[in-house]
Amino acid sequence: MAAAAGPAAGQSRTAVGLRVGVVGSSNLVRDSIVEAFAVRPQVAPMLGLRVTMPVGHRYAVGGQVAVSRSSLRTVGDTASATVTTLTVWAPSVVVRTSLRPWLAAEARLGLLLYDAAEPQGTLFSDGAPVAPMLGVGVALERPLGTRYRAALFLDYDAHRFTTTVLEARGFTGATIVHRVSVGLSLTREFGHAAP
Amino acid sequence: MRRRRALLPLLGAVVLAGCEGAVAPEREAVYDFDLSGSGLVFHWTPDRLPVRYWVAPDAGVVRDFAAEGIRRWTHQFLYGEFRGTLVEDSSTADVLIWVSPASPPAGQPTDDPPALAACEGVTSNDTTATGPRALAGPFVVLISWRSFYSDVDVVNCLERVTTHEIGHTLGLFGHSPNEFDLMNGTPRVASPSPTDRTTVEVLYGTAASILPPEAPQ
Repeated sequence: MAAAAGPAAGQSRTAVGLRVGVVGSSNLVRDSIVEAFAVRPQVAPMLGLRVTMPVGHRYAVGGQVAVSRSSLRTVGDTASATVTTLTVWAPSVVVRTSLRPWLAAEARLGLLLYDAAEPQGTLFSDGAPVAPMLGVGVALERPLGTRYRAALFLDYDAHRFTTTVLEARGFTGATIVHRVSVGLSLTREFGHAAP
Repeated sequence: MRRRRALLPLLGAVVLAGCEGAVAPEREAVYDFDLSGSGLVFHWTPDRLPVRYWVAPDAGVVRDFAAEGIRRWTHQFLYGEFRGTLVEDSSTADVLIWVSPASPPAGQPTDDPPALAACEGVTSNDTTATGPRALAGPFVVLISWRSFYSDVDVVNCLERVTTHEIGHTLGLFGHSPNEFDLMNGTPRVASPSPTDRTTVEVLYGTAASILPPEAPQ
């Protein structure tokens, strides 16, 4: 019945989704020591888990945790080097709605947590502040049977980045970091469809 | 349509916020780090990290000061340009640290005013005569101390001088004219100063003209 009614009917159920994709990030730091260079994570594989519950007829609200992991590198004109391996956790609250039977949009409010697993420089030696994050996204959806939905998603989020050590070393302000992720999601719906 | 319009302010806010950016501090080398004014520059390259330090078994407290000195210098770098570690086998080391006479007095450093002549250090190396200029072998650091000074003065001096000599093994071949920099010719402090930090950051951002020695097998 959900398949026949499309995603709008699916949203009247609790949904649990697995998200797999890749995430690209803009520079965390721009620095200049003899020559200018940037510090940014490489494109990272991303894994996410999302639970949403229906609110009214067209909206769903829920929570999501996504994690990505890649090398953090300095990138200059003449030299590049690996700084450390960086894991990024992104828990968020999601508000989702259907714009068309095959198109959904969402907004996210959450946190970004950086975890440098094997610090080789001091950039993260005193930790990184937990950063508030704002995000939006769209998804092209397709029902798979009565309880499953597959989707191709495109997400964007932004947050401010600095660290305790950067501030102590005389960096002023914070960098606005933009992240774009793209991937596939598979969602299972639980409960009964709305009439 | 109304929903889509509701998303626009959010998207606009984050895009406009993207115009902001952190501003990095200026870094300039405050003192010379090249080899005897020759313009030749040495620093360790990423493929040779961590740099391996060996300390003579009879070096006593200097071994602890070497470990702490490596840590203090490593901590100057935001992006991991330098790392060092202690090793047990001298044949695999990039830096050999000897102490003379052996077995200096033990103890914890204090904040007492430094007795500058209680010890001294020398760091040496040779460069290859042919082919691309490179270090010919491991750095050799010789730290000597004088027994007619009090134990406290010797211990304090050994801490400062050991950390200073480790600075030379990073490639800081010059001395700072500022007496409050660790790389002053007669170090009065035991940790790199902000000036030492910016100088070594600039050194590691400069293209090296002297290559590291071949890695010991």
